[in-house]
Amino acid sequence: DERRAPLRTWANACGPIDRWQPVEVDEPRMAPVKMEPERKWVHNCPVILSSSHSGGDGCVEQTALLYPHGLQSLHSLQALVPSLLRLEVEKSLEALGLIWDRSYAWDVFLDIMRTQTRNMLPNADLPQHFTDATRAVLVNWLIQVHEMMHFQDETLYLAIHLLNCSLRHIKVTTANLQLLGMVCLFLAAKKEESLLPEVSGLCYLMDHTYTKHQLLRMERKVLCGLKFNLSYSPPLHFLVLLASVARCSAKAVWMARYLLELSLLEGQCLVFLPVQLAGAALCLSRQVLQEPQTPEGEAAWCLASSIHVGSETVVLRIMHILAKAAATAHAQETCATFIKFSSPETLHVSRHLGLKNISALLGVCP
Amino acid sequence: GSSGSWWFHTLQVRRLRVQRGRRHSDPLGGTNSEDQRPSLQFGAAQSYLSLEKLGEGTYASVYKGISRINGQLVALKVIQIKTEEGVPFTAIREASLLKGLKHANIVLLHDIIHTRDSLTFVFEYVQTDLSQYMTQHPGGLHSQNVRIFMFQLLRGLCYIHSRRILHRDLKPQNLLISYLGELKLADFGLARSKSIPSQTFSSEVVTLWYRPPDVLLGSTEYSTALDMWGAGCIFIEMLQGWPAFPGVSDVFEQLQKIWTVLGVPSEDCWPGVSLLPNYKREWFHQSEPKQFRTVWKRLNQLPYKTEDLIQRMLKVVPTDRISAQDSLQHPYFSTLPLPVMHLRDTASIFKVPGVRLETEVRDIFNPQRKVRPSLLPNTKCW
Repeated sequence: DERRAPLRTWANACGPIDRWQPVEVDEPRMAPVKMEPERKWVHNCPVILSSSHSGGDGCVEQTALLYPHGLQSLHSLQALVPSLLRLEVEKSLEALGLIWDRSYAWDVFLDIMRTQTRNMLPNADLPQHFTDATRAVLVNWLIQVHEMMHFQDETLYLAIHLLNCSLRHIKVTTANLQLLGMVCLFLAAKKEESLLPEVSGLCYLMDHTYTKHQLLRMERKVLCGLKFNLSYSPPLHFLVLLASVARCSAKAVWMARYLLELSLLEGQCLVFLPVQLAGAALCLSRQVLQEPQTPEGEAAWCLASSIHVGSETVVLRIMHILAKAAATAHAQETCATFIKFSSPETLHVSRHLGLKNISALLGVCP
Repeated sequence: GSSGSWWFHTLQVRRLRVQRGRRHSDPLGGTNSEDQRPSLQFGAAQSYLSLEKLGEGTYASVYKGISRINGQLVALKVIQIKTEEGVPFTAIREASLLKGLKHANIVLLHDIIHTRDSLTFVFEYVQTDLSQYMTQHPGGLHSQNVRIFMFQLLRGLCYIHSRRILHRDLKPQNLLISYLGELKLADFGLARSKSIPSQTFSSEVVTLWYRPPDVLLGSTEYSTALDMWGAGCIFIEMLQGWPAFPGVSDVFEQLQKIWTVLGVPSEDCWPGVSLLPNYKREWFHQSEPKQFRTVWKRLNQLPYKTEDLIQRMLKVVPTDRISAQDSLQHPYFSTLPLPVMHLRDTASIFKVPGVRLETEVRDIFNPQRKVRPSLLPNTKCW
């Protein structure tokens, strides 16, 4: 029973930037990739290894087992990882409700990996009068409005993405920046939400500084500037997907979501791909929380890491930006995200003590 | 700091209204540069001439038009903008979805014209739609043409489904047919992409006749199976020349039509069905599933694999329904030349040698044409 669609390989499907990186066995982070637990996932029954093994020891033994076979086993491992990954990605997409049904899971994954590069911005340059600080104030306010309206998280990420793109395509005076921000949120809501606010309600939220007519004119301007292209794969989707494949704890996911939302406030983060931001947020979250490791957890993490999120340098750069943002978040005027993630529902992640000396953790001076 | 946000206005922080820069004093020039454009440009209203009204869509009027730039015929979909909502969300979703879709079986969006109180989508002009085509050729279509149309419909669905988009409003009126026989999915006003888990849609999607039983029963757990049911209904309609489940007014009548053919689903075959909002206990003693060929007589004249594919598409339980991807592999399509299975996304099926429409046996525009009676489909059933 042959498939109609030509089988796309990992490498050519994701374009030059997202090319899957073969697992580098000599890299210490990759060491715990081992056969036994992986096979268990295939049978869909993650079992905890005999308790006598501590995480680290188990890894070393397993790695040692891999080496004597030399290149041959390396190849079979490389061949094995994509199919395992595929299975895990498909299961996760389905479990997370990110797809309509399982049959198209892998196609959808390849599609979102591919299309994210289309929406990438070439550089982080903002119009002259729009400084990083100005931008942060605006984004912070949008985060508050978004929360007040009980919108979905995707709507926020889309709104900020539209804002970033609009600033490049249309010219706005400083006086109209807030209007632009609101219009971007309005458009994002129209794309994602079932219940929509009325134009007059939005004008009210801006203290009637702008008329309805001005708002509609700005909407037209933004839509024309963006050529109606409002499609976007939010970094949040990559985050929950990576976290699910990596079997991260609820706390690790909330921490990563917090860090990811902080990235919205950082002008420097504009140039990174959604999957890179998500990967870095998750990485940093794990480092901050320092949760006890299990062999299964480590193997799952390695598998998730084989989703290519960019070069090590890029991920580290993002981690540094996020670490710095998290360390100072409580003291900033733009602290809507900090407050949002200090609630019990989000497990108080923004107040986690580990965030205070986060820079030391990464070996950076703030 | 707060001194940097003088431009900022909220209810919480009431500030004096700030004098906004006037348009002409704006050093950045605003949109003034656009005024010097030459008159015939993409995106400009005067570049298109509206010829005649073609119909009313779900949220817009559609006109036939001609491009003054290149003389091409176009379809102009004109959407009114209201002051309380601005550009309708349906228009935003349709345009942003279509922008990302490039496929031979998806209608092509050429241009968008945005004026103060209306929005016009400029589509490629496609001569007719499946509804009109079936009106012109009553009594069921040529079986080979049905195959070609179904293949294209499923190819289009497979393409959008693998991009996590559901059409959600399949009906013959939304399937455009070119003079060559190319079929194109249109009207993505109700379509949407999956992004929000736990999102509940209004259940008011999909024209009643093509709506699957799960949605009729009030389930909001949509999946690609939603569109597959619609495709199955259209399959029957093309063969029979009559809708598969022409319900009359309400959801229950529509469900009754479906149960008459497929039987009432039980908890055994569909766990949880009796908990759906529109499920009725009194259905329990009703009809047994029937053989499709006894209900839709045209199937008697066709090879068994036709009925088999339809049966896989019209499953009561949504998770049992075949996917578009798998249905393209079904033996029903094995009589098409092999290269149709390996086409580029943007290549039409008619690029493959040997694929062409057959002349329909009945044509109300050419009633004199001599027709061999043996070719006529059985018409008693309707």
